[in-house]
This record gives sequence, structure tokens and C-alpha cells, in this order.
Amino acid sequence: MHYPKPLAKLVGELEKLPGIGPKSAQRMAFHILRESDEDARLLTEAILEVKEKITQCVVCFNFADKETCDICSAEKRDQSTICVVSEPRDVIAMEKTNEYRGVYHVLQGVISPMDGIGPEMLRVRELQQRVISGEVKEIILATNPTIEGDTTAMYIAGILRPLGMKVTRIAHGMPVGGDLDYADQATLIRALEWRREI
Amino acid sequence: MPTYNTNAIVLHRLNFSETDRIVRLYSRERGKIAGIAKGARKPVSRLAGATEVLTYGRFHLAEGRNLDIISQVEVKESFPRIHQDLYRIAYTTYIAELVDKMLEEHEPNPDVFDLMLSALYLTERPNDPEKIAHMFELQFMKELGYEPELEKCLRCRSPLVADELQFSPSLGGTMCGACGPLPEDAVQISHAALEAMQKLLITEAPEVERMEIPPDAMDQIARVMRWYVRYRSERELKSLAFLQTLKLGTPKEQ
Repeated sequence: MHYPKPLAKLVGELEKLPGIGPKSAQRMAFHILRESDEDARLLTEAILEVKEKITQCVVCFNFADKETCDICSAEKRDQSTICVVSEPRDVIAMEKTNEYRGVYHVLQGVISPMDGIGPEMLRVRELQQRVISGEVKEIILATNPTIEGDTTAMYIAGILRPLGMKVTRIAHGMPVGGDLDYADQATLIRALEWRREI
Repeated sequence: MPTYNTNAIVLHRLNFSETDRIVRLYSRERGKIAGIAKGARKPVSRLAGATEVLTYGRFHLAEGRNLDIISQVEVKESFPRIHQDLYRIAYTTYIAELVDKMLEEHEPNPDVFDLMLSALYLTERPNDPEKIAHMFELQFMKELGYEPELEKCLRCRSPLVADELQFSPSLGGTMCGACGPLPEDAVQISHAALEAMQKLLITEAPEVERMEIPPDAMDQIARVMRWYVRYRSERELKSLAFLQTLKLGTPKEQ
């Protein structure tokens, strides 16, 4: 590439971001070059601040800017219901619904035997500890309906059920706006299995 | 852009970009192929369920420069019962990893394809998934030209009637315990385990369903095959670690 050195460095760094190829990195680098010094400073500050201040909540392992995250420390949240998700972004998706009033537990991944990711590499033991030491009544397993999500949910259900816990899994089936004609066999089987009276 | 149709099983998939998936397929006609399923992670995508691991279907692809593009899939079987049982998932994932790691791209082998499909259908039915996995391992090795010697002693070439028998992965089969010196990797194997392995190596689907293998013999087969596959593939398969975790004490899930 025929970039001046500092520009090449910026392009190189941007290329490391997920989903960013050489062309996008170049476009972003040129944009940063053209924007005001103030905007560039705000961007660098935001990146540094996020690295400095964001840690993991000691209770649920979601991202937090203090020891315990806002959800875990909120008095209004129902501490007896824990929704188990695989990634912090799943918490954001669930929160957007404005329907759920319980707390969360972020596993930081899913069991994926083929990729060598076992339960010991996730926050499963911590979840077990939370259940043993707390006043938990229900665990909602909200992992994706993929083979890894299914594996993770069944594994966790297997270790929590003996503790006398109500363990539930979020429903699977037809997506809103979906088309029955195009739904695959697995989705329809689950949609039938998990049907409910109206 | 030339297009083609092929019967294939999904071996592995990887999230790519915002909503795409890169999918590794094992096809009957073209061997292992890599394709991209655009938009497959959107909830209303027609490709979402069809590109789940272990799905069997008829795939319509367009040849691309690096990756072929998956445009349509007609799902033939998604093995819903396998997906509802931790052990069934673990053993079939192991089968998929074996095929994925031990075969090269674009080298079709219809016999291996049929064997894998048959193993998946057998695991979908109420059979012990471990028994089916060992049947697959043995017959898969045979297809690749690594059939272990299970009928005669590797050293004295006489039938295996001695009280003590040994299996050596590096020598590629069984030998009488007295026909020393034993290689370092030799492990003892019982007659019951050896007989079960002989049957699993040649048995067709309906018969394997009726086969009963005592737990002791099953454990020995698991150990022997683990070493044998590791020796032949020159690596430890990742999915074995999870199987080990399950065996070491997780309640069986149904």
C-alpha cells in the first residue's frame, strides 16, 4: 500500500475489527482523517475509557462499570429468577423487550464440543454457586436454538435440576413474520411441540 | 456463475460477518465443500435451520471464487431426536468431526457419505449412540484403508484364541499377549470387546440395532478406538473432551 506510515498504521488497526476488510478500513481511516480533531479525540477517549472502566459484574458476568452491574443491584429486579444467556449482547436483546423483570447470568460462550469448548471454560460453576447460595426459584435458559445452544441448555439443566430448581427454556418455533411454507422440519417440530392454547 | 445441486450433511459452521455463516458440507457427489449462507443468522432466514450442524438436505450452490454460495436448501432430515439428547449430540458431533478432520476437500467418497448418513439415522432411533459411533469409527477407518487387524495375531498370524490379547494402534491391530515383545502403546483387550469390534466392522444397519455390547467391552472399545483414531489422524479430536466430561458424571438427559 502507498499510505503514509501513520495512515497505514490506522488502516491496519481498523482491519482487525470484525467484519472490516481492507476497503472498509480505508474508508474509515480517511473519514477519521477528515473529521475534526475534537471528534478524533472523543473516539480515542471512548476506546480507552471502555478498556479502563468496563469490567465484568461479579454476580452475573455481564459487562459493568462497577463491581456489581446495574441490573444485579437494582432493587426492583426479581432476584429469584435468573435468565441464563451466552453473551452480554443477549442481555441487551432481552432488555429491549421491557418484559423481563428478573436478573441474568452470562455464560460467556456456549459449549461447542467440535471447537473444543467445554463447560469448564464457561461460567457454569459460578451459576451453580449462585443457585446454591441464593434464593433462586427459577432458571430460564435462553441459549440459541442451535446445536451448541441446545447442548449448553441440556448440560446446565442436568446439573441444576438435582438442586430442586425449576428449570425452563425459552420457547422455539416460528419467528414473527415468518412463513410456514419455508419453515424447516426442525423448526416446525419444535413449534408443534411447544404449542399453547389460545 | 455455474450452479449445482448436491446431497450433503452439514459438518461445521462458523458465523461470518453480520448475518452470514460459512458452512462446511460433506456431499455425496463432491466430497467436502465450503459454502457461504448469506443472511443465515437472521431469524426469518430460510437458510437458518437448514445450515444447522448435522442437517441432511439437498443443497443448491453457485460456484464462487473461494467459497461456493448456498442459495437454496431442501431439508431432508434435521434429526430432531439427536438434538434433544446430550449424549446423542456428543457422539454425532464426534462423527462429524472425524469426517471433517480426516477427509480432504473435493474428494467424494459415496460409501463414506452413506455410512455417515446411516450412522445419523441409527442415532436418531432409540439405539445406544456410543455403539453407533464405534460402528462408524471402525467402518470409516476401513473405508480410508486403515482397517485394524481383528481376526489374526499380527505377529504369529494364528487365530486369536490366547487368554490374553493386546491391541496396538501403531501396529494396526490385535496380537496374542505372549507374542512379545509388546509395543509401548499396546493395551489389553478382552475377547468380548474383540468380538464386538469384529461385528461392528462388518455389520449392516438392521443388525447393529439388535447387537448388545456389555458395558465392560464398550469401555474397552472406546479406549482402543480413541488411541487408534488418534494414531491414524495424528491429532486428538476436540469433541472427545466433551464426551469425557459427560462420562465423568453428568446426569443423563432425555
